[in-house]
Amino acid sequence: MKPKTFSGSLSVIRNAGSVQGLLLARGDQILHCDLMGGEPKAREMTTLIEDISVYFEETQRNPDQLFFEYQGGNVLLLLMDQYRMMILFQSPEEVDVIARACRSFLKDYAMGQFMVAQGLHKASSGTVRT
Amino acid sequence: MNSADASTNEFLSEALRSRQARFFRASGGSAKGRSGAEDTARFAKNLMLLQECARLFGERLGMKATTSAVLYEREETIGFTFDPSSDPQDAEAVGAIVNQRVPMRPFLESALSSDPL
Repeated sequence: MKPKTFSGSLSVIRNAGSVQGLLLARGDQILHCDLMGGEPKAREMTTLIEDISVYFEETQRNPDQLFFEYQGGNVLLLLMDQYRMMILFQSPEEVDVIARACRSFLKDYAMGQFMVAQGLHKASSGTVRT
Repeated sequence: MNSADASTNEFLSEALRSRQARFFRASGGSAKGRSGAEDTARFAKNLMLLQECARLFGERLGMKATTSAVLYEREETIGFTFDPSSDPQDAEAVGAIVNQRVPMRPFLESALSSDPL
């Protein structure tokens, strides 16, 4: 995924419906953060998500999507391999739409990163290097 | 195996076969459901797990009380919501497990309108 596509896709999600904040990480590496509280809050949340992911691994659990609804706000967490995406939003009715959009983004992003790592990414001209 | 065990096992087998939700109700440290002790204990374990995760996120994000939580794991959806008609001092959680990935919002609504017993 090109940087422009990356930021454009995240911007679409960030501006959709009642979304209030977004965090994307790969393990403990923050890839994108748009949370109230900035970098320190992103670090705190990334650490928490990593701790929870380790707990799941240790207990042979493998959830890939979690949703928490509170009085006054909602949290959606997607886990895909080492990628973690957390979205804060206001309207619980939007959870399934937001989850679909985020999962689709995350799949594309993870696939793109995999292809780059494998040297399989197409050149921008549309030709494939041989 | 007594007849009650046999009928709950039959209920669980049929629910799994037809991929229908099994509903549960929990309060005051105990949970009830029609799909047998083992399945009900499994729901209770997930209820505690989701509540603990919700507490950890809620504390750090300055959220107020948890009202619902759902997770997808492989081809399964597990979740609960607090029954707003129950006593706030001893709120009842209603929840479900279903062996398919279903949209989260309707899943919670179905748990709320269910009669697990």
